[in-house]
Amino acid sequence: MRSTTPPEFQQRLAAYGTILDRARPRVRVPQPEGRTRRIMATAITATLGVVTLALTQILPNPSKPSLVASEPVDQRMVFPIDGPVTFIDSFGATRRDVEGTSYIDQNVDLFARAGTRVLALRAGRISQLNETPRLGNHVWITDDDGNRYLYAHLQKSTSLREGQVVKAGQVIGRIARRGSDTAPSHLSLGIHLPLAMAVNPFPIIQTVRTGSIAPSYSPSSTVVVRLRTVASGDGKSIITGIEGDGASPSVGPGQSQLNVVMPAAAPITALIDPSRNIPPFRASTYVWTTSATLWSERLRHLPPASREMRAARADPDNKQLAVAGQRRELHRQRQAHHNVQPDLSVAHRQGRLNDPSNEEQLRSCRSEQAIRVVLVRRSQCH
Amino acid sequence: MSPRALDLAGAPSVALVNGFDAFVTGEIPRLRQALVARYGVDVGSDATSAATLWAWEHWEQLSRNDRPIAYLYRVAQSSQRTTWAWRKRITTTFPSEAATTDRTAAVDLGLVLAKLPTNQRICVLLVHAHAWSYAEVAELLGMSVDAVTNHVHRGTTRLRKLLKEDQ
Repeated sequence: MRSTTPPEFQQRLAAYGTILDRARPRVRVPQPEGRTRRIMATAITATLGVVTLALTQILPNPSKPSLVASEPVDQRMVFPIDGPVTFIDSFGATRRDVEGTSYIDQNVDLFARAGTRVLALRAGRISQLNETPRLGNHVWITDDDGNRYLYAHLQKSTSLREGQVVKAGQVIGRIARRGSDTAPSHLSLGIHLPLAMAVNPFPIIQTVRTGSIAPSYSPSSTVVVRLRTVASGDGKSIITGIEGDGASPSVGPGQSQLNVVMPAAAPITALIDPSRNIPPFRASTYVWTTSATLWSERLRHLPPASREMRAARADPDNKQLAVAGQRRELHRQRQAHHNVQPDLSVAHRQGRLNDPSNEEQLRSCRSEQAIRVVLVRRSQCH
Repeated sequence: MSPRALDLAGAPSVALVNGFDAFVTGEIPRLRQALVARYGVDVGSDATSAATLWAWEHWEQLSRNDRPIAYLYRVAQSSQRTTWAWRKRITTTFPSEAATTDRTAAVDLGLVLAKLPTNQRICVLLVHAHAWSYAEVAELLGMSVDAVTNHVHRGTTRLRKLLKEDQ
């Protein structure tokens, strides 16, 4: 049977295999709400605000070859707007597109006047030029580490072409007159990691803007970071912030909870004392690699308001709807609470939690569960 | 235990860590090939990540398994099965053939592949696109080699027919 396939057809399939190997996911795959215990456990165990640590991934990797062999790697990062700009951390905000469909925005919007020049955040190669109703004219640039940068809502440009190599700071377009049907002119900036999904560009561009990025950071160097809890309680610690010490990537303000000396090329797990009371949060799951390449990331949000709750709000006089809405709201809160319960089954299985009455042991395991990180070396990412 | 878990009694075993590293280097790319063939690039990549995480958490158990990649393939399938109702809205997508090659095919292979039955697509892609042996595919899918041979034959025949029809 094998001989029935013509050689040219086999060659075509073999060439397509190379394409498949190189293909990166174009859309983030959202996770359903409140499903299996495993997903919930994952959301707890690897919950980290390693969004910020993505910064280290897009910093230089001396071991990797340059885009152009004869030129050194352009390691700079340049703030992408050349002019007055306003932006906040809008990553994860719920938006509606022109067709009224609700979606989670994985980009950060940088508001600036129409016509303002847009610069490449980091050197790379233009991997895609496209136009869609949601993003308008947009450009995808892939750097030599495989990170992909999205610049959306640009004016149409004829000077760019796919495959073109751009330097950090090079003009790649101008901001369009209207960002979308409902928003003023702005640039939507997204950063997607190899094999994985979007990370929050806000701390990165904020750091770039303030100039606090260390120019010579090496992924193999030792990094002193401060892990910051933004959600805590007895056994419910969620770490979402990380700060550098000035010599290593420094991201975002925050009160340090614990200093961890973390060799970037070695495994890391750490404990943190859950002692702070923090307002509501969005839990995030990240599997973090040595050079901060995210293998996977799942954003988990608190369940949205249910149909019953919306109906109850729309008709406050209807007692039946009000009861149903309250019941649903209670379920929602329980579900949200359950989402942050640590899964101790791994600790049980590993024998580290052999005495549930031992408070110290229990607390250690709970804390560990909350911030465990998976590290895989950059060279192992494909 | 997972190779990198914090062991309160001592440091993680070097052998465990090295074994996991070797596994990630050697087998995870192959697992990704299989999952991408099964689910397309978007969901397949996500499933690979989920399976890698599972492997890390259960490395000791996995390292004792005779067919770890086949086991992980099942794990990835299970992780995706929990989302089946939600994923109905997502179509299996394959990259365009013309995007990275110079050839200007009349019909894009990426579009036609999505029309193949799942097992035929997996077998055709793994055997012809990724040069897996029939025995390796059979081990991954838990089938006999004869069944894989049939899937490959029927898949390629159907693929060529679809390509001709679309022309």
